[in-house]
Amino acid sequence: MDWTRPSGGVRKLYRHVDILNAAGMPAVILHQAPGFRASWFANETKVSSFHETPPGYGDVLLVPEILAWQFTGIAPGVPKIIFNQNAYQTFAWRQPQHAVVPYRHPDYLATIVVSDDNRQYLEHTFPGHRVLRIHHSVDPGLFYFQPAKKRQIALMPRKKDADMKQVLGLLRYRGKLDGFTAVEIQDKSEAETAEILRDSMIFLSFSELEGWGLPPMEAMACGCVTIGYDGRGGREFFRAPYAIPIEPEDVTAFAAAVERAIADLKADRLPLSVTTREASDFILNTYTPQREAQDVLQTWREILDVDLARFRVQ
Amino acid sequence: MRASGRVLVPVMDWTHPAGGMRKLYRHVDVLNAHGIEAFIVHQQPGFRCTWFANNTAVTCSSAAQHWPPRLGDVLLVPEFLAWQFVALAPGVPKVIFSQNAYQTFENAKDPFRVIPYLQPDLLASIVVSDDSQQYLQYAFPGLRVFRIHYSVDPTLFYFEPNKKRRIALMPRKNEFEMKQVAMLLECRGLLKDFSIARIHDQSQEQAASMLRESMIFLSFSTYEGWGLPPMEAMACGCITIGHDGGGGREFFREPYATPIAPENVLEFVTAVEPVIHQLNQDPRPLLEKAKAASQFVLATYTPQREEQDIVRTWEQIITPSPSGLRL
Repeated sequence: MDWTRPSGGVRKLYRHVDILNAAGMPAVILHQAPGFRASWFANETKVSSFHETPPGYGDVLLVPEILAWQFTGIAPGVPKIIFNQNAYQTFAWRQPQHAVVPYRHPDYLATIVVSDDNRQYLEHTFPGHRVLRIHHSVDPGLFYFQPAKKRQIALMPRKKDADMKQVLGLLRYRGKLDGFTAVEIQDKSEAETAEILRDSMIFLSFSELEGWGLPPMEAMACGCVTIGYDGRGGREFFRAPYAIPIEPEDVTAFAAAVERAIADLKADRLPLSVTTREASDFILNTYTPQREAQDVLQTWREILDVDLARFRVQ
Repeated sequence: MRASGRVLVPVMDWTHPAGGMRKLYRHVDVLNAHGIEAFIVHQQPGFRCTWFANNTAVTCSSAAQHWPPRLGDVLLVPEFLAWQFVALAPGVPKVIFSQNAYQTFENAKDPFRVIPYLQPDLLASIVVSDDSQQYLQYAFPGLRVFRIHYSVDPTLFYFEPNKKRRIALMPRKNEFEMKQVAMLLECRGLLKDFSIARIHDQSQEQAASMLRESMIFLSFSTYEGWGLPPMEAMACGCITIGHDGGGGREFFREPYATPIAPENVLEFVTAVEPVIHQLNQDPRPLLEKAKAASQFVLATYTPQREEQDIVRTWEQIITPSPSGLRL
């Protein structure tokens, strides 16, 4: 889609294309309008439009999960792979006219997911459909530990606005913000977002039904004490001792955890049982760009070697 | 209980069904039946909720004899209007009827100055679950909070043994998740013999009839003070699976229902699957269980208990005197 607003999923699609091209497999992002490019993050990704570069013989379409239903009627016969960055969105964009289930359509060779949670979701829903998993990475050039921090709580208000309002309301009216200010990250560039996270002592996560959860991962990499919802997809990394996960909808526990963290930080105690630098190291050492690139290439090798043989891809 | 002051209950002029509105009407009925003059105060002259049967005392905010409040009156303010009424009727004693504590900050204005729950003209808050009581006492330590028990209407919501292979649900909340659960069930071939019935904008009688006829009710409650729909579904003998919404966990529990943690879509679906298989093979064991759940709900949440709770609560809030409700 030609989204001008920041979206982690779009950034990861660009990255996917970069990895494929760097490995010698020609790949291109196809936007709707010629000349469009996502510009809220730095990139030199190969970009074209569907009109300028229609898929042809030998091509493979990597279709985001939100467009998978629509593409059952587009480019028939062209092999397709779904890049499902959020399995909970699997049915969100399905319209009544979409009678064909892409995950059962012979053109759709496999689906790539970004968490074990999402893999389970799809394997349960579409038994027999091939699901391959890659690991997202965090960009260590932007999201890194910074020891000098402000008494600042970063949060992203895009999701679960009602929860955010409640948690902040509880903290404010109980008088527990105690010199900390809440900074909402909204419509910021990737570089601006990274700077706010590096500056912040605390990050509050209001993730909801996510494929992964890039914001809390990036916040942890920046050394924020990260408290809140893992969005299910994020529970692989959003866990003790590196973060403070809260069960969905438990807003009083959420607010109480933030209160404790603020009190600990003001008293120079550790809010986590590890230091925030250790939490940052855990993220940066586990979710490396190298691992992501290896995963992407290995996934495509598996698909090309096995599945695309019948399409005689060159 | 007798008092010469009045309890005025300002509400919105909603034409769509809302359980909270029905309960405000009921509250006024109970007060009037026990010697406290009480009115629902709508905005438009002549407005009355008609989607459920009622003869409740209703007036409007342009009726001079009822508005503005006079000396001795008390305002019973729904939680979502509490922030607005801080400025509208300063000094008039108020009770906040917080049917959903999770809505406490929903309409919060001017976040650092006027907080209705901390104003001297606030006498108390009334809540409908222990969960909501804990929430408000956490948010505003020292706040006087009374808890009442909702009831289920046994003349509408009762066990009906002749049921259809039907799954009832209310799509008003959490539609994103509801769509997923429905699609997952369909994709896994579980809806061949079962149909899905969406209860939306139906009258109370129609909703009750649909629930009585349904074998299963799926609850997508989120952030509720209580959870009238799953309680009413259980009373009707529906096998009830899903989210308790926080406030509903007192009744939405094993062995009477199958609660699912919020957002756990896969667990939700995998809880529904064996129920459908069992109902397809032999529905009797599960319907017996549903009958027991119906008896539990109907015996625990009676209109008499609700009435007693309301009366006792107001007895504690007010002390009647010749000049009105003495505070």
